[in-house]
Amino acid sequence: MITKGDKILIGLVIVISILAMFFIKNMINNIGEKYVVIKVDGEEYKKIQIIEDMEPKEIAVKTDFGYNLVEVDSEGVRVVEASCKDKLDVKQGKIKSMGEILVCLPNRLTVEIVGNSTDTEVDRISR
Amino acid sequence: MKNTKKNIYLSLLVAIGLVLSIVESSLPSLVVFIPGMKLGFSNIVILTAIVLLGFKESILIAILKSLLLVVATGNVTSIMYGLPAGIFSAIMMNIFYNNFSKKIPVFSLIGVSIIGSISHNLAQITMAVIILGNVNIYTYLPLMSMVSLVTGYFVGLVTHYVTKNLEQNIEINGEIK
Repeated sequence: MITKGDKILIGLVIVISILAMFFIKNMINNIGEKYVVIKVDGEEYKKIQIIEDMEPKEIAVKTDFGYNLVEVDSEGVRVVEASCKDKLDVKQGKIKSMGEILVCLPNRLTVEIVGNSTDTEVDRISR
Repeated sequence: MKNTKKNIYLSLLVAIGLVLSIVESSLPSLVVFIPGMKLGFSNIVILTAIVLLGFKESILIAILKSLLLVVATGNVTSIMYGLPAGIFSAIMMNIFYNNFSKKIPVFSLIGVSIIGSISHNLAQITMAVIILGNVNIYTYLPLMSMVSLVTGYFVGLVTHYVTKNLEQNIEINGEIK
């Protein structure tokens, strides 16, 4: 009942979809500009663009909540030093791609990589 | 007499399609939150109409179903996505059924319904891109096509058995057309 043409069609759609998904993923990761956003207690502390071939840059975050040393380079961002006890953010290592986030709860610090400010999120106008 | 019978079949198919659409729209969107993203079970009705009744009737059912769905659910924006998508997918299924399934059996009803499901999604996303003015929504298309494969297969299978039984019924009671 299922014909050869059906099978070819199904196979073709799967292959094209998977290829397109890979293509889109690469496009999102490479073309968009990446920014590192450092936030303390929910408020933006500093925003730096990640550019290719940039010198590693160290940013000291000193606030009432504690001290962190954040290092930004062309690949990504990591927390080098932290004044908190558990140092979970240091252990997490380097984050590289969009949407990843480093959190230091005792110091109320978050470091995340975001894309362009023009958000592409679709809200649910209708179903 | 002929016309009465055809009208009854038409209205029954519209009613069944409407109920399927209402049930479907009250289900939570499982995969992705996209305007107009649906499983497309009401394609069963349209594909049945294509096989049993013909081109004009199937388009009529697609239009009536979309219009009545707005009345039933009160979701006015859905007509902007649903109506063009329904008509487009009905046309595509007609073309493929008449040329590549009935004359030359390249695809079975499963293949035809997968094509209908994919073209439904394509039209819907295109409408969303036009209305929301954001080309990036097309990035959902590959994922939606994968979902279309599963629902399209299911719809094709159901339609195969539905039409097999309905055709017998129609033959016993005389031609509809």
